[in-house]
Amino acid sequence: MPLETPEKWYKPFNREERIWMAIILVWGFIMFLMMPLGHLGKQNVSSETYKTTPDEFRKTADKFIEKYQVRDKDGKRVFRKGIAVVEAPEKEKGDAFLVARSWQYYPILVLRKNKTYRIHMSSLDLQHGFSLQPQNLNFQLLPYYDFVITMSPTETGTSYLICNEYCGYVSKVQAHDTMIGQIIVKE
Amino acid sequence: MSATDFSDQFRTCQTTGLKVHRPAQRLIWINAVSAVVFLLIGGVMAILIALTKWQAIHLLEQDLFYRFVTAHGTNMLVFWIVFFEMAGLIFGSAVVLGSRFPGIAFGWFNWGLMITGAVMVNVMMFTGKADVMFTAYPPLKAHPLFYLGIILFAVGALLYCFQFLYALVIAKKEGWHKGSLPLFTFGLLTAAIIAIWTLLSGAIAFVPTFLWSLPKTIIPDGSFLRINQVDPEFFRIAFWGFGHSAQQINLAATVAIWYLLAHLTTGAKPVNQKMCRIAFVLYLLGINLGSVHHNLVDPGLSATYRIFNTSYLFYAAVIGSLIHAFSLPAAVETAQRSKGLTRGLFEWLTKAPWSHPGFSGFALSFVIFGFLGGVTGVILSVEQLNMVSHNTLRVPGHFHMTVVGGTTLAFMALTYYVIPLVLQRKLIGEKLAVYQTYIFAVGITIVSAGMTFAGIMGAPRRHYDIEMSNAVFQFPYATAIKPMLSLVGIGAIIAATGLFIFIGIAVLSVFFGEKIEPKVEKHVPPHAAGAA
Amino acid sequence: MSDSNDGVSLGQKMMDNIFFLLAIGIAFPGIFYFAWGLLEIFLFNNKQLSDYLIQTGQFGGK
Repeated sequence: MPLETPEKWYKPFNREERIWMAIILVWGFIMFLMMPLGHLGKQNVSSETYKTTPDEFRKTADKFIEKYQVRDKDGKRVFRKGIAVVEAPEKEKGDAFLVARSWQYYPILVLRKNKTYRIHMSSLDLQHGFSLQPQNLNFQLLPYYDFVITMSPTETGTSYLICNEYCGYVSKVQAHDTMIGQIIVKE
Repeated sequence: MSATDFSDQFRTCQTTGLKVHRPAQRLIWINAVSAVVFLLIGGVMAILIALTKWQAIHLLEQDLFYRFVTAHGTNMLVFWIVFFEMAGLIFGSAVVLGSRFPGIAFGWFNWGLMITGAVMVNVMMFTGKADVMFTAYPPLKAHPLFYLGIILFAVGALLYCFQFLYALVIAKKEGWHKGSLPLFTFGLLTAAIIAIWTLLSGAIAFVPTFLWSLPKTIIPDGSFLRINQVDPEFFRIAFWGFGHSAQQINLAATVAIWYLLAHLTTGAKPVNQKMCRIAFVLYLLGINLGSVHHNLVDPGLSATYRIFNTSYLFYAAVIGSLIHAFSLPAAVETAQRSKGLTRGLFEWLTKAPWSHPGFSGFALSFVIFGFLGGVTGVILSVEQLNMVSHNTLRVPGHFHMTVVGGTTLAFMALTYYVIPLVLQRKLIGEKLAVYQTYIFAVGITIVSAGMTFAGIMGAPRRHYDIEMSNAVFQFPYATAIKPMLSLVGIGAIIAATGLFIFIGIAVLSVFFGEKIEPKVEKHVPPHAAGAA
Repeated sequence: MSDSNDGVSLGQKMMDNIFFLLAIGIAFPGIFYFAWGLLEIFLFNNKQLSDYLIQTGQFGGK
């Protein structure tokens, strides 16, 4: 009885208990093995991280935008809804930068299908939740931490960056629930 | 001071024969009543925010939504559950062992710290000074009194945990109890040890954050207490050492309560004490490592660290749960079969006391926590799967199965025993209690299902408006997402009905139920040195 | 009065010892989750972005 004091209870297991213990130990071992084995696959969380400051990251991102922003046929810089549109370099040619801040992701990155990109991501102020939809890929972005994600888009189209880490609000149009960005993939 | 000074302070329970230390009973009373007060606040918040997630209704405004999500989370996860657990610790030590609870004034002091902290935190939240969610991640900053309130509450609870350990020592030393702890108390001991770890981790997270939140007028530049920045990942590691481990306290306590309820309703006895106790010890070794599943997609951590810790130490803690998954039904089946219910494979189950809220609450909680909640938790704890679920609504879908369908439902079922047996009041509305467990279980399962499927489709959590009507772009979520969100609202209405029935029965019974006269009897330590 | 622990196995004695259980319950997560975690973020993964930029010749310097 769970309320009674047992006497000498450290006794061997009986047959059913041994069978069950064997099953769950084997099952636990298999489940554990799946974790490092799964890590040998191609879709894993990055560990590549650099320490930075919001100021340094913002300035670096601005230089990146300056260099790679898409220009129209008159040479003018292209923006969409006020956000710079930037053609990201492939990883052999350089790194890309993505900034999260209350309450926007910038720039809008343009990627090419089947090419690989190294994207540095950080926040300028609070914690933000990088949530790429419709792929539903989610990462945590922190200030002072530059998170480098290496990714290769496999389909063309427009994806959206939602924020899924609560980051405050000041008004109906400046809030966690209006924070959004885009990533565009072309052929 | 000899132990016999306490002999006049006991009564004998007419149902169980347990010797109840009456000052301890009053401490149990105050902690249990406090728990239900915060359950009520959290419950009202729940229905308001659920009716906001239901896009067609979208009840609250933006600011109140975020405020009430914070208030709902904090009141439920912290105050409702921990106050109840403190009552449980006092019961599991003093009452189960037939011992005095040492330090009654200290016990009241600890309750005082906890209630002060809880009130402070609620005032800060409801006055809009702490719209930071239960997780309060820096650099989000709340009013200093929010952090101070949490710290006071945590200190009170931590002191209670140490007092619980001391009660176990005293019970043995003064001869109130001899030999191994009963399994129920052993389970609570595991919970208390996890709680000590939890609260220490919480102190490491919140004390620097509290100092950081204080303005320069109170802590000027140059002072050694001046903290200008809390490293965000440091906070996440320390906070989840508190936040998730707090859920593991709940797990250990809930499992202990399942053994107790199974016994009270069917006479079930643990089939093998060693197996059950090893399972609890596996929790001690491995379960708190799993908190890293909150950091699976964070920067700055290696894969080895992540994998090792989210495996719960090579799945040691999961094996603990799987042992209980065997041991509890085995105990019930053995007890039922010994009553002659041996027809076919399952008569022991079909003829179990399903119309008894103690049994239905235990059984429903066992299925929802163990199979739905625990399994989804282990799934979400895998690195690759976490990438497609982190911070989506799938996460609240998981934890409403464990914390609400599991722990809260088990605590409710236990309360139907605590009120007559410990608090000595006859239940008012006892017939409704039967239905209450089912209504609550069905409601919360629907809520969790809605959240899980919406999250799989990418819906973010803690988000006021997934249609993003005020943003520069709108992401076109799958059409099925809106019906899923409406399930959250519908399920919440059903669950809230079950919740308010429970609170109604509990409050009416505790304050207006017919008093059961205590059988006051002298009780001296039966195993004291030199006793007869 | 004889000690009721006579003839009790070592395993039972260890699991009956609440302070032993407290020690392992704090030590295991303390070391594997907490200490290791802090080492990860403050020691093992502590490269600076500015060094990386200089090293790869991108947007280098301040």
